[in-house]
Amino acid sequence: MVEPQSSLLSVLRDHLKLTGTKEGCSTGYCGACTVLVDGEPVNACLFFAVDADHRSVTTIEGLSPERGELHPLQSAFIESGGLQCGFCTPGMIMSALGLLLAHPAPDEAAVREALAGNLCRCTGYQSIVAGVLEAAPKVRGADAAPARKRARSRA
Amino acid sequence: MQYFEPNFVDEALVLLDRFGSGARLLAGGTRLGFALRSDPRDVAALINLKRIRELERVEERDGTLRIGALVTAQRIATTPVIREHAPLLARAAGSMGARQLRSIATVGGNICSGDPASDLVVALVACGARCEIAGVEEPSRVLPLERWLDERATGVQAKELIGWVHVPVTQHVAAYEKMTQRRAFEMALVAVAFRAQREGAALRDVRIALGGVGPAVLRARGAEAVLSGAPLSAASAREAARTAAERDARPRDDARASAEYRRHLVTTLVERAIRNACGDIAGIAS
Amino acid sequence: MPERSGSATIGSKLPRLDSPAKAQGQAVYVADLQPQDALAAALLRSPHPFARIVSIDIGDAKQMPGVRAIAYSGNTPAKSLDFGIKDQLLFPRDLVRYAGEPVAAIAAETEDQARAAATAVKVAYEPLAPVLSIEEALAPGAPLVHPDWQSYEKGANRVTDRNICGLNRIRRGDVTAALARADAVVESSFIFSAGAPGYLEPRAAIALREPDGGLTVWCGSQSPYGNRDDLADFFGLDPQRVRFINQFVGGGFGGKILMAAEWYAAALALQCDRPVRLVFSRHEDGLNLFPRHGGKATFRSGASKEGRLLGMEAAFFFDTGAYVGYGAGTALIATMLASAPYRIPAVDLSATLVYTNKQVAGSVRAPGGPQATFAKELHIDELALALGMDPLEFRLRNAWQDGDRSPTGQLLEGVRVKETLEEAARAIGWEARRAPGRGVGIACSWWFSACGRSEARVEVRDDGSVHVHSGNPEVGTGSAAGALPLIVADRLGIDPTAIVLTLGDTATQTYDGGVGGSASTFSAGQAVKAAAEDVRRQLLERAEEALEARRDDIELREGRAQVRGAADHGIPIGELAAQAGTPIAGRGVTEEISDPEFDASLVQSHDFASWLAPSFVTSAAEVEVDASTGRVVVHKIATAQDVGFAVNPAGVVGQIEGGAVQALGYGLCEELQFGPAGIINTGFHDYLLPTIIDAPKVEAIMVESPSGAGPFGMKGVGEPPVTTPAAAIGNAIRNAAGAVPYTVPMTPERVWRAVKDRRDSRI
Repeated sequence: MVEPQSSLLSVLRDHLKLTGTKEGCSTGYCGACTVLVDGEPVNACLFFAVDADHRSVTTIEGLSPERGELHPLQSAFIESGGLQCGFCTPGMIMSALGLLLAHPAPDEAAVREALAGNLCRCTGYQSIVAGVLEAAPKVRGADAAPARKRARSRA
Repeated sequence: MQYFEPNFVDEALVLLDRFGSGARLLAGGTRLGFALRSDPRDVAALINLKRIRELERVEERDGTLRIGALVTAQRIATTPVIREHAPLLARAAGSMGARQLRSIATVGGNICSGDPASDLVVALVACGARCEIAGVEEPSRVLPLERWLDERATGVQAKELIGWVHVPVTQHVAAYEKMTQRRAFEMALVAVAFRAQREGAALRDVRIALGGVGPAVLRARGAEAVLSGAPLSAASAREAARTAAERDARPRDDARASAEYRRHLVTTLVERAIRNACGDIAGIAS
Repeated sequence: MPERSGSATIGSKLPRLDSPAKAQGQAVYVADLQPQDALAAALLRSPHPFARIVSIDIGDAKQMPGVRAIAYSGNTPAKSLDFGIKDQLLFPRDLVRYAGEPVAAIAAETEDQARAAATAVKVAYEPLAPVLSIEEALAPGAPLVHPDWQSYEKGANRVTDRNICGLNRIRRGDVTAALARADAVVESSFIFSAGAPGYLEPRAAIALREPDGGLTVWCGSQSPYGNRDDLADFFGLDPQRVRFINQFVGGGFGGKILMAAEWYAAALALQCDRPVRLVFSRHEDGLNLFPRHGGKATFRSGASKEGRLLGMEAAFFFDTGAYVGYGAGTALIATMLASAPYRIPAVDLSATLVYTNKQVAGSVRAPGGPQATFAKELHIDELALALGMDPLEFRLRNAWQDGDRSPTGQLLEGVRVKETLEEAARAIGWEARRAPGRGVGIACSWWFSACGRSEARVEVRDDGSVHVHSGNPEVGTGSAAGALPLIVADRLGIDPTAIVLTLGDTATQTYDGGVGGSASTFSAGQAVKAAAEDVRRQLLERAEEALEARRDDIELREGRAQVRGAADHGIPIGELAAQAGTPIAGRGVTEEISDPEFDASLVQSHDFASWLAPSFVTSAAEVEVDASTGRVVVHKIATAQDVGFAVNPAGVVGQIEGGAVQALGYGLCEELQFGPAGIINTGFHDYLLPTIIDAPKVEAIMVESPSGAGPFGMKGVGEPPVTTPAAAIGNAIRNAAGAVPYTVPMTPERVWRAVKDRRDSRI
C-alpha cells in the first residue's frame, strides 16, 4: 500500500517494480535515485509520492524510444566509458537529461554543476562529462523540444 | 496517519487547529520525509500544502518581493524578478545542495527546518526578510524572520504557518560567501551573507548574517555596527570581520570543524564578502 | 612484444559488454530482486564498543508478530572464522567488541516486524572500558580486546601479543651507521584516518534453503566462490549444494570480499523454508563495513649531499579494529612499499597491526597503498627539500633500475620507475612557472600482480554463439565484462560483442579466487585464454577436415574458419559445432606461478616478501591552495602507470581515472569518524566522497613493459592508480603553500592550520 509518507522511490521500486532507479543512501546525498518530475530532476528518495500525483515522472526505463533502442545519452555513456559498476548510471543519466532539456548546449562547467548531486565512485567523472557533452547535440535533435514545452507550461 | 491536501490557507489552518502537535505540514519535505518514514508513530495528520496556489507565487509589489512558502530553491535561483531585486538570495539558493534537491526544497520548508547553516535562511536574514504568518486565532501577522526564528526556538507558533516571505526591494550591494570541506553538495561549515546600502563611501542599513556558527542563523550585529554610517575602508572591513568572528559568532567544536577554525572562517569570509560587495570603494579592492 | 593474433582485438577499445544493460537500468543488483514470498531480515547490533554479554533472551522476540526465525549465538555454530588468526565468531558469545557488531538476526514477514522484533531481543550487557585508539591499545596495562588471545589458533608467521595481532619487519644493512654518515637526516610522523570503500550500492543478500538441504544465495560479492566455501564450511554444508549467484555489483573496492549480509540471510534461511532478504540501508551498511585502515607512521631517512639515499627507518602502526579479518595484508604491503622504489642500502621497516574496539578494517582497494605511499613520498620530498634538491631529480637519482634488488632481495627486471616519473612530470608541466598559490607535486611507487586460481569454460554452439563462463565476478572494474571477452574474441576471431557471459555463478563450476589484489584480468584472463585456445585448437582441427585444407593455412576470422587468402573457402564456426553434434567446449585453468625468489634472512614474519610481475606508477598533481581558508583545488592529476600490456585500454584508463579521484577523496575529504557508539558518519552527507566538481582533469598514461607472467604480458592494473595521487597532492600543497599537514585527509582545516603554524613559527 502506498502511504502518505511513501517516497516516490519506494513506489517506483517496491510497488511498480521499476528497479532501474537505484537506492544508494535514501537521504538525498548520492543521486542514484534521480528521476525527472515534469522534466526537473529530483531525488526520488526524498520526493513524496503524493507530490507526483498528476505529474509526469520519467525514469530510466522510460528513456529509450523503443525497447532495445538506446537514447543518445545512453549511447554516449557507453561509448565514453562513463559507467563501470553502473549503480550511479541511471540517476546520472536522468540528471544529465534534466540539464539538456533546460540547457541544450551546456559547457563543461554547466555539466559539472548539474551533476554535482550524483556521486560516482568508479569513473573519476571525466568520462561522464565527455559523454554528456557528446550527447548534447543528439539530444537536441531527439526529444528536447516537446519536453521543454512541457516544462514551460507548468511554470 | 491521515492525509490532507487543503486548497486554501484557511483550510490548512483548520486542520492545524484540529490535529495540533500531531500535524505535519508538507512543503517539499526533504527533511520531513526521512523522519516520517523512519518513525511515523507520532504523526496523526500529514497536511500537504501543494494545492494552495497562492503559496507558489512570486511577485514584486510596492517595493516588496513576496515569495510564497512553496517556492523551491531552484525557482528562487532562476526567477528573473528575484535575480533582479534579490541577487544575494538567488545566488545563495543556487549554491544550496545539488540540483535535484533544489527542485524539491522550498523556502518555507527551509525556514521551518531550523537548519543553522541554511543558505536560504542566511541570505534571507541578510536581506531583512519578514515572514507573513497565517494563524488560526488571529489574522495574518508580519514579523522579521529573525524574530520568528527566535520564537520558534521557544516553540510558540504551533498553529501557524509561514505563508510568504517579504524581501524589501532597495538599492543595495551584497555578497554571499561560504566554505565547505569538499567543493560542492555539502552543508556550509560557515556561510556569510552581506547586504548594505551605499551612500558615497559610507554604508547604511548594513546587515550581515552568519550560518554555521550558532544554534541558528545569526545576525552579526557587532560587525554591522562597525560598518554602519561610517566611511568604508580596508581597516573598517577588517575590524568588522574581526568583530563578527570574535563577538557575534558563537561556534562550537563538532565532528566537522573546530570552533577556532570556524571563527577564523568568519573573519575571512566576512572580509571577503565586504570586498566583493564594495570592491570599487577605494583602498579595499582585493 | 606481446603475442597478438590476426584479429588484433586485444588492446583495442571495447565498450564493456554489460554497459547497455547498465545504461538502460536493466542490470539487476541484489536489492532489485524482490521474491514474492521473501521474508525481511533485520539485525540487532551492539550499542557498546566493548561489553560482556551476560545473557541473551530471544523468548519475547520469538512471540512478536510476523517473526519466522531468529539467529544468534545460541543456535549457530560456535566455530571461529579463519582469517589466519581464529579470533572471530559469526555471532559474539561472551564479548561484543565494537559498536555496531551484529548480535542477532531476525526474519519476519515485513521489515517493520523484523525491526520491532530485533528490539525485543533482550541482551544484558556489562559495559567494559573500550580501547579506541592505537595509543590506548599499546599502553601498559591496556584492556585486552581479546582476553583469550593466547589460546587462539593461528597460522605460521602470525605474531600476536596482547592487543597486537600482526608484526612484520624488513631489515637490510646497518641503518644507524648509514644515518650517522648522512649529510641530511629528516624524521617525519604521519597520521592516516580510516576510510570507507565508498561503493554506491549498499550490501544485500537473499538466501533460500533448498529442499535437498542445500542453500542458494543471491549476492553482490567480489568473491562468490570463496564466500560459498566459507559459508559451507561454517554451517557444515556440502559446498556443491551451496550455490552463490552473483548479481551485478554496485562497486566493491575491497569492501565486498568478505561476507556481511550473506552470513545473516543464510543463518536465517537455514531455519525456515522461504527466501530471506536482507538489504542494508546506507546507515546500516556503515555500521559494520570493512574500512581502509587508519594508523600512523614514523619515518627517518638520510642522504648524502649528492642526493643519494643512504638509510631509512620506517615504523607503521595500523588500527585493524576488533578482529583480524583481512587486515594482515595492509601491514605486509606497507613494509614492502616503505622504501620503494628507491635504492637504499640500509633499511629497517616494520608494521604493527593493533586490535581496537572498532569496525573490522578490511582490504580496501590497494590495502596499505595510499597510506604507505602518502607517508614515504611526503617524507622523501622533505628530505629532498632539506638537501635543496628538486624532488623529481632526487627521485630519478635514487630510482630502481633493472638488475637492482628490492628491500627483501628480489631481483628486479623490467623496471620502469624512471619512465613513469618522466612521463608524469612531463604531463603536469613540472618545469613550468606557476602563479602564486599554485604548486605541483609528484609521488611514485610500485605494486604487485596477484595470481589466484581461476577456471573458465568457453563454448561455441551450433547457432554460432560463443558462451564464456568465468567464476570471476564483474564488480564494475571491467575485467570480466571488458577484458575477458576481448581475449576470447582475439583467440577465436569473433566479434567480442557477440559473446554471452556468465559470471560469478558457482553452478557453472568455474572456480575463481575473486576480485582482489588487481588479480582479475591477470588470473581469470589466463584461464579464459587457455579455454579459448583449447576451443581454437578444436575448431582448427575440425576445419581441417571440413575445408580439406592444411591447418597452417586456416585462420579464424569474423566468426568463420577459412583458408587464408580465400575468404569464400570457409565455414562458420557454428557450423563446425553443428557438425560435431555438440558444443565445442574448452576449459582453462590458471597455471601455478611461483613467487619470485627473495632473501628470507632479510625479513621477519613476512608472508608477502616478493612480488610477482611488479608494476611501477607515478602520479603528479597540480593544485591551488587558498591559504586563508585551507581550500585546496586540484586542477590536474597525471598518472603514468606501467601496465605491462593493456588488454583493454578503455578499462585501464577507467581504472586510472577512477583511482585518481578515489585517491583525491582519501587525500582531501574522506575520513571515518568514530565516537563511543561507533562510526559517526555512516551517511554520504557526512562521509564525503569527491563530487564531479571536486574531480580534476586526469591524464592517464600507460607505460607498457610486458611482464613474463601475465596473459599477453599484462600486469595487475586496478590498485596502483589509487596509491600515488594523494601523496602527489600533498607534495603539491607544500609546493604551493609552503606547508602541508602530515595527516590524511588534508582537510581545509588541517591545511589552514599547517600553513598558519609554519607562519607562526617564523614570526
